[in-house]
Amino acid sequence: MSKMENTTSTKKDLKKHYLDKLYSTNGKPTYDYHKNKMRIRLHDKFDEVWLQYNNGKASRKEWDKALDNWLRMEQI
Amino acid sequence: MTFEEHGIYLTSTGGQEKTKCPQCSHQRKKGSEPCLSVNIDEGVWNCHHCGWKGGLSEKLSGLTITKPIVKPDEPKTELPESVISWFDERCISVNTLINEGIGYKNRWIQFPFYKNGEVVNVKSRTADKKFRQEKNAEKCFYRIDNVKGMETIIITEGEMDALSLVECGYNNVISCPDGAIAPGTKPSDRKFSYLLSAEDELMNAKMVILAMDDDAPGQAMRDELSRRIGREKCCRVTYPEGCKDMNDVLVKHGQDRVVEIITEAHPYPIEGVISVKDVTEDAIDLLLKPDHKGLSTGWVCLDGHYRISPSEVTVITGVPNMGKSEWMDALMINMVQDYSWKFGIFSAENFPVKHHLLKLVGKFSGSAFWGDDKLTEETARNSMAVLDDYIKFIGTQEDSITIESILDQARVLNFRYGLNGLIIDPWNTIEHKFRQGESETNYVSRVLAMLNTFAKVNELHIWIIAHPRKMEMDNNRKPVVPSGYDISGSANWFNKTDNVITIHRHKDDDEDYVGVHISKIRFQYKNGIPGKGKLGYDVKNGKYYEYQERFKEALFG
Repeated sequence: MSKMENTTSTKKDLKKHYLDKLYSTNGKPTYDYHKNKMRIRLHDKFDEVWLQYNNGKASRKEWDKALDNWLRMEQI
Repeated sequence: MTFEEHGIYLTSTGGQEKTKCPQCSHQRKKGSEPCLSVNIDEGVWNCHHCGWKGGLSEKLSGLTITKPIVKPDEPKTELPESVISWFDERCISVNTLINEGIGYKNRWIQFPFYKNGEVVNVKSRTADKKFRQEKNAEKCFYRIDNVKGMETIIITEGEMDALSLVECGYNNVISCPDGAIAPGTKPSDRKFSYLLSAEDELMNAKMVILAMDDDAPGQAMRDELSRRIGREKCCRVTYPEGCKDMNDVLVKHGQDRVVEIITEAHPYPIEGVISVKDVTEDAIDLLLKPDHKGLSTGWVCLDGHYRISPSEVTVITGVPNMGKSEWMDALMINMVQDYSWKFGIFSAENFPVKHHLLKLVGKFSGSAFWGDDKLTEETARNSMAVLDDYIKFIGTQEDSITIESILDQARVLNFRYGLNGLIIDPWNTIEHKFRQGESETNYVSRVLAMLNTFAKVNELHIWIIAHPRKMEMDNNRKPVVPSGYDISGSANWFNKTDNVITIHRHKDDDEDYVGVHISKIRFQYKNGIPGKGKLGYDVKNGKYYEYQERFKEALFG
């Protein structure tokens, strides 16, 4: 398997992992200003970390943590 | 005898110097290694290789023979063409050499030191920077006669720099006879004995411009001279890039640049004092910053009265059971949710921590943490997992905690996680260690100064919750709203903190709200003006919200 194929495969795993977690999360709608603000920020942070991960500037652990933080906030 | 007569050749005229040993260096494999340590001031030397040691002064039974001060002859001023050319390369003209009485003898260029019209010392140098002075001659500034009665005096490190300034038209120039001092050495009074030769002139001068070399010894010399002369009247010069002294500037940039440098000499900074020039750029940055307001607390009604900026100390007071700690916790959760602020929190009244954490989770999730409709385990766990990144409890292990131990732990947390806020709740549960004979007022003043410094150095906001003294009742037998001056212990609580807030619950038949009374804001342009905000309180989840005025039937008859 070439190096390129290996990278693609990892990214596919990542996307699957992301979608699985997302679908298994029961997000609660909220009108709380502060909670919404934090949700949006943690979502933005996760997007940022994913970009960094794609560019080799963040680890998988950091990616997982950012995703968990955002999804946890969605469930609060 | 002189050092030269012992075969010791030196490049400086004072301090400590290492050079080649005349006894052993020529026989050694490492012949160029400077193994002879010479203390020029003391006139003694010691070779670390062959052990040869000696001195210039003759000591008999511990008594030093004091030699009489010798007055040297005036140097001969007939200069060979090579010397004139050497000076010319350094932009010093023949006229200046003649006027200053520069002499020459056996490859040594001689600079006569005149005092009251008489030559009292002669300093000699070679082209390759070897220096010597007349033995037992009087130590005084070079060109001391030229600054008598002058309001402005320029001091240079060496004679060539002094001549460079003379060449540019400055006559009020003197030069130190022994050059600079090695940085880090403790300058002896003997080393600076020449200062006495110009005591009256330096004391009476209104401005002294220190034009030392732009290197470490030059800076050490400048620091010591400014300390002795008085920094309030000392100015220093800034050389253009690539120039280390005044002669360099003259050679590379010409006379106009030298004049410019002297004209632009700026006051010597006084320790602990910052001039406008020093902070101009920082202030302009602040001015141009699009949003230089403090951060909102999360309650719109407080935005005009209290905003949060780093590097400040806020004290929160209030009569017991009015909700000081609750409001502080709610503010902390708002800052976490709105700005991802990280907190270190010492909250003795909320120990054990599990109770406190549950209260925080209630505020964080907006769900009740007790009663039938309390939050689920899943919500609690998710909330705690998120909060773990933002809140650290400190001071939970010690039997007695002091302000120093809180700051020590906060310092470590700040290093590891980058704190934005530190909460000390409340003041009276800390063990206060008064110094011997220290009053409570002085103690509070000292600790607040410590906290202020900590906040500024670490760029975090510190909140302290402090109880007021016993408050009197109003006409309705309800406690009056305490002010910053009512805080138990000292008026410094109001005077030495940046912001002062009182939390007070106002409850009567018509209304029931929590009043946030802001009685002091130090930086009002960014943090709001003192005033009052009204908040409602949800006892189930512990959250505060904007207070809605109650519908008043009376208004509609």
